[in-house]
Amino acid sequence: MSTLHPTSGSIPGHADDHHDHHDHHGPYYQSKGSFWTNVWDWCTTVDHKKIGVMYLIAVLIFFFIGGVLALAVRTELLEPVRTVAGQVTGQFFKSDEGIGKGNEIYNRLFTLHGAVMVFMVIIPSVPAALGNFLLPLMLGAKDVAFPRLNLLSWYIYFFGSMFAGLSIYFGGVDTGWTFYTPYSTTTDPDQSRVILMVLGAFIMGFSSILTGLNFIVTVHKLRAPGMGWFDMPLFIWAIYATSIIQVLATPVIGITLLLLILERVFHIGIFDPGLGGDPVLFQHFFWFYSHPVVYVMILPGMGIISEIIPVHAHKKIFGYRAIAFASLGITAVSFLVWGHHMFSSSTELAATIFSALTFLVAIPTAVKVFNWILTLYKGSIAMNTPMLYALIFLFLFSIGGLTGLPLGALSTDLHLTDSYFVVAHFHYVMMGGTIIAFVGGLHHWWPKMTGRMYNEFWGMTGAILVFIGFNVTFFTQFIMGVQGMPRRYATYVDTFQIWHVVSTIGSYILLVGFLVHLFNFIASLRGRVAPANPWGALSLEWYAASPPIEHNFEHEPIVKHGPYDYGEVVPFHCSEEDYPLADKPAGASAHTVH
Amino acid sequence: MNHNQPLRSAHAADAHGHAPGGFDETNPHGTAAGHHAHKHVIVSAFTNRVVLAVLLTFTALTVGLANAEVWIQQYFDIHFPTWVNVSVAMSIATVKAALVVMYFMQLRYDNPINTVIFLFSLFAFALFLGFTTIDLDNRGKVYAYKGGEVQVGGNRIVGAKTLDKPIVQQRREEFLKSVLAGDQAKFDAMKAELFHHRQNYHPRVEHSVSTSGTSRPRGGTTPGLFEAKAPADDGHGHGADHKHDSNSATKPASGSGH
Amino acid sequence: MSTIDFKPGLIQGGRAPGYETYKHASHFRTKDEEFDACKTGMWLFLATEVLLFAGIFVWYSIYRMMYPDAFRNGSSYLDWRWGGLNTVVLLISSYTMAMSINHFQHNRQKEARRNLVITLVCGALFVAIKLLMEYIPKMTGWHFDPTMSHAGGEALTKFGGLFYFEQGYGGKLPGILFSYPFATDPHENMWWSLYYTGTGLHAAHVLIGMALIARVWWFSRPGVENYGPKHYTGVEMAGLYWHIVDLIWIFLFPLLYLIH
Ligand code: HEM
Ligand SMILES: [Cu+2]
Repeated sequence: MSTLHPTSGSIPGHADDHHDHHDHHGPYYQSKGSFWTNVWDWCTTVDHKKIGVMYLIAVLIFFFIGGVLALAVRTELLEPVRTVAGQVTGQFFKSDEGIGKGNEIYNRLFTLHGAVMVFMVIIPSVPAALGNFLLPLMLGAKDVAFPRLNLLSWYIYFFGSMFAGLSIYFGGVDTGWTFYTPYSTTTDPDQSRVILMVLGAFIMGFSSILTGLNFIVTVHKLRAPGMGWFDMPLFIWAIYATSIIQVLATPVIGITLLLLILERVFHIGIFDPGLGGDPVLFQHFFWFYSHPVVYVMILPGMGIISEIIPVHAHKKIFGYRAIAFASLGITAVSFLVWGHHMFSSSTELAATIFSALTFLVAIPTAVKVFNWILTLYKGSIAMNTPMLYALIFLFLFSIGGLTGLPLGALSTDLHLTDSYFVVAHFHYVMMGGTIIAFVGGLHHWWPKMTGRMYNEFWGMTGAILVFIGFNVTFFTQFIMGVQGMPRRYATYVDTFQIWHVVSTIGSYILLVGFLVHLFNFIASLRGRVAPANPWGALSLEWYAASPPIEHNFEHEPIVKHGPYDYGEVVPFHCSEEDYPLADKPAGASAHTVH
Repeated sequence: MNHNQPLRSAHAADAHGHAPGGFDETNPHGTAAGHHAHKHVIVSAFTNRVVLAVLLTFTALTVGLANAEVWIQQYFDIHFPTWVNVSVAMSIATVKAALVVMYFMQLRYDNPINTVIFLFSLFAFALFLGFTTIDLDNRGKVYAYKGGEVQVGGNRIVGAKTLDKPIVQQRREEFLKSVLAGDQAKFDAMKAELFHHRQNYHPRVEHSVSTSGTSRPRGGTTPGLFEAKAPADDGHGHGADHKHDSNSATKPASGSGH
Repeated sequence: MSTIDFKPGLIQGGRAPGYETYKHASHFRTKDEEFDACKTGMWLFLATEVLLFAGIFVWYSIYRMMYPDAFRNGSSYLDWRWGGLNTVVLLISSYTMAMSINHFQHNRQKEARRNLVITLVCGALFVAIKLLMEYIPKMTGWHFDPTMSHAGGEALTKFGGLFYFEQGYGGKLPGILFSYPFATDPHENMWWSLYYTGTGLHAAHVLIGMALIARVWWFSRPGVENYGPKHYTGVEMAGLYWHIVDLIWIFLFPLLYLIH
């Protein structure tokens, strides 16, 4: 039985639209004419692939900015008393009262680092950049359900980030990325930097909502013929679960930030006690969104891992349904636990309830981790960069998740809260989880997106450097946290200096690792041409050409096998010699398990 | 590219749960989408009219019941707990909302997924509200801790020094001084007049003093705020904090109020 | 419930109306699939609207629990008759919006457009009542009086008696702007913060809804007729949005006007 067969014209309403564009068989990014024609074409494109690439470029630029800020923070912390921030960055962050005041500069540095990384990098990284590129391809669709809305989302994201950029230009904010009142209502009283930053986050929220909405409808309506819910790749399940959170939680941060702006502009009391408001209410509003949003960050990362592992272990994923339902389970539980960020400001009753609920998150998360490990078991693992990143993810994310448990337990959290332990925890999940998965995914789909193969040696080298640098940077922070180093201070007692120095050195190693990746990617653009299916994968994006044509597929695919049926099906564009089937005696014994 | 070539051996299809060949290409998802061409539902004009009539009736009902509550309480001199008012109003509003959603928005005839989406949003709202209320009884303590700096109802006026009394009190005194030239009798008369007029459009239970028949607590208002003494004396559990607060003698501390 | 059966027809000048020539986007298989997708997308958007207003409702609930008397007092300055009238206006507009869809489905273009206009007028009326009868007097003390009965009297007037001033009535402003002298509860300003934010956000949604309906009205004009039995997605979307605005008011009205 054939895996796919061409059905052009066999479906009502499709016969005519297949040949109405001139030349659409070249790569999606092929030149349309002069330079300005191309610029115009990209700025007005409704092609999900181009929009995904535009997101990717924006995300990478912001990742660079956020990274520079992070290195500034780390460099500042080399010495127990402040040094660098006041001298170097004081000029940049111009502000009447701020110049030369190291503490204040430091506060702005870590705030901007956090805000840029959370709102402008991690949230859009996997769903908006990779998701946009891959979701329709994986579903066998021509585009997302609402292509113009998709472009609008990108512009909203762009304008939101412009507001944030303006705020940084005027000197940045020092409220922490959480915008807690009354910091956010009292600092910077005569200027509009906080308002600009909050407005930026508010606007970017709409982008996130519209992307989520678009993806949900796409998954419901545009799956290729023959693709049932349980024939979808797990990446799609993860994006779907993410989108639910984006749609249900993001409006709440919208109203929260809107109220915060009203509070600053009109001085109406809502959250600021100085105006008669209730600061604890702000924390509830903020974390109702921001806890679920940590799953907006990690779920798509998990989705990437669920793709990389079976493809590069060339083995059917273990517990497909368990992983799919775990994504939905995480979505459900994520709405129940936000109070664990407020243990020190709520009542015993509330804290106890939230603490108990927090432990529920560990269940679906662990289900996923164990299933990935079981997929690796007896697989024929190809040790390449994506696979290495998947393994790094498993290691780092486990540490991040497990350290969430002492934070979720009341008695320990009251000691660890607002210490470096928390900082280390969320970097292990957000960076060790999401960013690692993102970079792994980037390597995995790079041939599809660009049509070129990256250099495997430099890919592996970069991955190893990132792994070492990451652990040196952040494991030390666990130790400092347990010993009592509080977060968000520019100065500290001398005993911590050794750990801070080690941590800062780690951050420089990290930088080198990422630079290696960057140059490797840039070099690859002139490198070896990628085949359509370099990994021998079975999900539909590998059925399309590398890079895909404008309408994704030459012929609308009809799905007759699952995305992980390794050993049962010969992958697209591959021969049975390379990927022998399990039931053939000639087959290599590696892919035997169903 | 060799995508026309048969690519797989035969047996796996059944293992995967697809009926081979039994696939309907015009309806790939097994939903009604492919089939219900020309079956868009039209909600009839009659239905719409009936729904509108019911909605208007229920609007009258909710206003009527709210006013009746006041009347009953005053006539029989009894006291309803506040949840009566809220739950009556919300039940009626829910019925009205359900009618709008089901008929005007046609959810009743629509793809069930849309109903699911709508219910999810209500569910998320319920979680939001529910979990936000469970730590309410701690707010007083938070305020007391800040009691020295912050006034009830806010005191941080833009472009001016922080007020040392609650804004409501501050404005009352300003009005008395600048508009009425300190004429307290005129102030009282104006207030009485305004409050009397208010009964015309917003009936409410007016007597707040206990009578021989009932005893009513004065819930909600911050006790002693407009009296001379500091409310910290009222035994709201934050007196101890203020012992250490040098400002507490001159500034009435805030409190959650009840 | 009947289902659609449509009679194709031509409009002026022998051109086919927009709803006849409409072609669905090429990545959908059928027009119906596109209609369904748009509807689901819209419902997702409405879900986000519900959760946006959830912020207001949670704020309301928490503050009402914390300061019940401030809310009781604050609410007592609201006139249920204006709130009630606005409820009726919005309900009628919801009905005309639903009827407009019904008429489009039966290809009664004139009736459909008439209903759109009524809806728009109701929306404008709602906003006008809010502004003139509620916001302006409460904030400034200037009452709107179309009968001009105060002209020449002792009260201050403006615009030839269209507005008259009542000493001590105004100043019911949100938060720290509050300057009403007769408040009896120290948190009454918090009530006004909530009142203006909640109703203001709602009024903004009314305006957005009106813009959507005006757009539908414009594209249904004779000679264009983009909406008809075969294709009325745009009307349906605008209608759904309009109804959710109504829905939120159905809850805001008793919560704000009927407390005692
Ligand atoms: C098993 C899973 C997890 C548990 C039990 C958990 C638990 C916690 C707890 C209790 C805190 C509050 C610590 C404090 O402030 O005292 C916290 C903070 C945090 N967590 Fe997690 N977490 C988990 C997974 C994640 C994931 C997957 C992410 C993101 C991808 C994440 C991101 C964060 C962030 C950003 C913070 C700090 C927020 C801030 O105060 O700035 N966590 N976590
Ligand atoms: Cu959390």
